Amino acid sequence: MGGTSISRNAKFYSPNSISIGYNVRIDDFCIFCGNIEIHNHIHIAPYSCFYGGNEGIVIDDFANISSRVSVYAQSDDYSGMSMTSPVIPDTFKKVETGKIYIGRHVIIGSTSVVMPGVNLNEGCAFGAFSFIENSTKEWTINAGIPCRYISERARKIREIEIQYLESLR
Amino acid sequence: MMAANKYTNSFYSQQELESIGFSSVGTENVFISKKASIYNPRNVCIGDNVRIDDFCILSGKLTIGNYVHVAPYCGLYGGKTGIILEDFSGLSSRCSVYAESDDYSGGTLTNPTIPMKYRNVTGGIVVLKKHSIVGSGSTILPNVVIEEGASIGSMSLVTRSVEPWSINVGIPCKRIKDRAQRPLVLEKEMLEEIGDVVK
Repeated sequence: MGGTSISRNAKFYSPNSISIGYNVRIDDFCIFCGNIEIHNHIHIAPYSCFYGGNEGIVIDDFANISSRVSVYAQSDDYSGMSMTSPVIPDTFKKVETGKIYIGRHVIIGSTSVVMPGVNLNEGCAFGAFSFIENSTKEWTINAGIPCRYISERARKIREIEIQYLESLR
Repeated sequence: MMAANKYTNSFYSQQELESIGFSSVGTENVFISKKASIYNPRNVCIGDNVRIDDFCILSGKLTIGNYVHVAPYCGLYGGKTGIILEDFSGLSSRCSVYAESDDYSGGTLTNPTIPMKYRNVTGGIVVLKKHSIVGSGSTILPNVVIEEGASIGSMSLVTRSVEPWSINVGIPCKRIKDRAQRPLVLEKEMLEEIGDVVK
């Protein structure tokens, strides 16, 4: 089993508030800012970005983030009731915030967007181009804009995980 | 002269291109950004008159023909299976092309940090045939052939092969109408004018 490998082309804006476990791979052009916890056996594919803010993002063991996924623990108000963007002081803005949890064995397809405050419970899978604004039940397959429940997901992964972890001993 | 300077700063020189270790690389008008990431250049063939822009990823087995443009932020993941970009094909910015993909069903573990025996990576060669063009932000999945002259609208997800000279859009993308075939006439005129051979 390899250690953790992180591309030199990935960017960490707040290394003091980011923790990374073992057997993690982070690819080119990924961006990390704010509070972020990355556990073990995790792949984060190219161009994905994580805006943790103060609330933070937790990525649990064996989670997979495909390429071009954007995860926001904070987001501006798009309704027109406030100003937006990081170049405007906070007093003129209404920023929506919420901690994000990406559970064990969760897999998020390419180009998906995850919005503040969602809980992606163990084993959830999301198709490519999903817009994820609500929490999802464990071991379900979801897809779409906004994403909806499609079917249950097989749980065989848990048995294979046990075999794999035993093989490492 | 201005253009030459711009290219000197951003793109590899011919000498640098030859030292990268590509399986093959053209000698005429090949512009590859120094900010692109190239993994296993020994598995990559590149023709003449090719431009690959900033922050592109070239990974795995790739065959790129002549007169091909790959715009910024594109990711080409050829794996062992391979991606072929034929002459006059193009990818707009932020496209992802996968020749291999993990099994999302829950039947296996996933991702490259896990040994292969616990994964089920399946793939199929991806081909962009001559004069095909893919709009910004689109994703192409394994085993897809974009037939000659087909075009794909921006933000599309291409899960199946598409017909020649058709226009296709959506997630997953669907055929909406025929595409004009004038590129075939213009290709001939252009190659005759510049004295290149018609392939």
